[in-house]
Amino acid sequence: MATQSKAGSGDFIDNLGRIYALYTGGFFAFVVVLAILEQLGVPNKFIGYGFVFLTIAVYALIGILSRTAEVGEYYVAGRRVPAFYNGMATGADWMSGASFVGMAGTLFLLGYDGLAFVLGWTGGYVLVAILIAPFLRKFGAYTVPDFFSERFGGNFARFLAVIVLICCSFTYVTAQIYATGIIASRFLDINFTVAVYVGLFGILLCSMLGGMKAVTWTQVAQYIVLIVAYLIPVIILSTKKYGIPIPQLTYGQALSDIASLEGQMAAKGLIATVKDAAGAVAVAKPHIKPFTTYDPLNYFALILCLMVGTASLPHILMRYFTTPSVREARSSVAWSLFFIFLLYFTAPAYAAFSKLEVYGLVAGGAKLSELPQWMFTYGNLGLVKVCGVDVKAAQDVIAACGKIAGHPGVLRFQDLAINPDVIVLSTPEIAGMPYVIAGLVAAGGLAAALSTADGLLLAIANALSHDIYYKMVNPNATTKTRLVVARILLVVVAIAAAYTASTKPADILSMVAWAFSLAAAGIFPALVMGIWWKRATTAGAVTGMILGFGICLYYLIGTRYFAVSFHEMWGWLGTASQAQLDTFAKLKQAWLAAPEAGKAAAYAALDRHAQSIASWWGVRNISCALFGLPVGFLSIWIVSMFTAAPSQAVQDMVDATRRPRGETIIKDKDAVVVGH
Amino acid sequence: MAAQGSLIAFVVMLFWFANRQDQIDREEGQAEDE
Repeated sequence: MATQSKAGSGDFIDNLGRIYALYTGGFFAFVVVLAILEQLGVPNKFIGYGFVFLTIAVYALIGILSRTAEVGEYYVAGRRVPAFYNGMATGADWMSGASFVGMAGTLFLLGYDGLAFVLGWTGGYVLVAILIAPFLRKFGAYTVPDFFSERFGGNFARFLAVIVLICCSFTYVTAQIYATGIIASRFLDINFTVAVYVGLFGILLCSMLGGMKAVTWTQVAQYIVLIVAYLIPVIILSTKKYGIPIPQLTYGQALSDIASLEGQMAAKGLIATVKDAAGAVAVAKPHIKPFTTYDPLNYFALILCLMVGTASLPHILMRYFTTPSVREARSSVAWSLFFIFLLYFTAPAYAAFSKLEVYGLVAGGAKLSELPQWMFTYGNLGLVKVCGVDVKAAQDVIAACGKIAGHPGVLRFQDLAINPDVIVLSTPEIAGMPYVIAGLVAAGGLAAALSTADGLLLAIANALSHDIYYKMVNPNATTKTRLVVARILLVVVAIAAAYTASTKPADILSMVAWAFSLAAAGIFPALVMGIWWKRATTAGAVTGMILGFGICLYYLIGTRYFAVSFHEMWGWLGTASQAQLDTFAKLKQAWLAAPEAGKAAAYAALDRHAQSIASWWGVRNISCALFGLPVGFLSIWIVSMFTAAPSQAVQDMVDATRRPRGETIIKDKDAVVVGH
Repeated sequence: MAAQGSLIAFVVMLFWFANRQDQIDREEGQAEDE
């Protein structure tokens, strides 16, 4: 659309405002044209094609226009991205498929407890701004591991940072490509595996030729698409229900309507209920009641881990390497959070409105033979279940519900299992909006997943090409070789991630939440101590990284994959009740006594139970950084005190990092513009 | 609403921090040249 200007020239930077205003106008016009086409009777399938292909084509065009042959442009976009636009790009980089597609879904299912994600994922930016970003910008690094190597003298610290970076980024990028595949297969009506590679192609077109520079300018474009796509459906719902187009204002009203519908459904026996102490019937999981899923310890532990994890994820930190100055790096973090806030502030309202629609459907007594069309659309993808079966054919559902004792024959809320990832995508259809809105939301979800995948792939590929290849394997490589290697590695990593995603690895997807704890435990202590404590030594940092990351990984893998032996070893630290311990003992007996043929099944039952009780002090494994962080900080402090202080040169360097004025610490011979 | 309020507080805090820190840098002669 409106990106004909030659990207990268001085003109482009000066005219950013006009170019992106034109682009936004063009996007609105495009949506209007598709809406008109829909009214004229163009089939939904073509509307879906229009959204998916045209938006990818625009991103690819920006990527191609931003191609570059300069190292500084490839790694840090020439360090001249203004704070405002870097904020927008960070917003898109940050808001993944998980934020766009999954956050409202998580809130829908968890209610109040889901807010831990909202708080953790935004509070982290306060840490980024105050503790990290301006200092890394002054440092003048190309990648996060660059800092580790320079501050903690040598390639061992660099290598450890690369390992942590790859561990947390790879699972994350796989999940993004998976989300792309889900959206593309739903709206292009193609096989999931094919859809994954279509998505991959889009991602590579954006990032391969122009590296960071291309990714920056596509991410700004993707942010605009995703925020428009997120706000429009909620605004329509809010206007339709309450006549006010500001969902945040009508959200309170929606919540009280939810509570009253919960009461109605409880009276009709259409929602799971519990009897309270006085014997009165109450809804088992009211939307607005705190701590129905997490206890307070886990709620606050999760917030802490998500905050610190956000402040340690390399693909976010490296965005602040691209601003023209330290001053702009700081205000860029503020802008980032502002743009993220626009979406997150709306997510709880999105969830509430969506829940209101579904509750309305259930409270109205939906007959099993007359389930709405959207349940079949997503049921066919295996994402909506009623009475435990995918909604594919009405008679299967009726048969499955018929087997449940005392089933009233109409849909009950507890019968319905919606995958949290489809709440946002399906809400326009649930609320009966025109298909063009569903297509718009899909384009937004695609933009969110693609932009994050781009940022992550670049972070991984740059760590491999800059840190491993250039700094450790072949320091004499020419600029040309470095860029060729960087691009080859980008493609290799992308294909590996797409292949992993195409196998639909359930484990990897649940591991994404682990990335935050892993990044927090592995990177945060050494990063913060390196900037804020001159006395931190190489030995201290290396020990802290290994122990912090190690204990986190041990806890994750132990409680997830070796839960039985973990429980047997650490049961005395756990919080299992006597009844749970008795069940464990009983299941263990059953497994030991089981005949050869039944061993595996008996062990699976034992393992499943063990996973629910294996813990230290009842902390869920998603919050394992609760152990990793203190261990990391303490071991850096203790080991540093026992080793000789860093040289005067290193201490002076740390001092210079804290002063915005002056040259960057790392001077690259072929960087285009470095600081002022 | 607590979570909604915290979001607003975070955003306001960051803009305030960016401006105030820059002001301090200028007073101390540590700010970058424009």
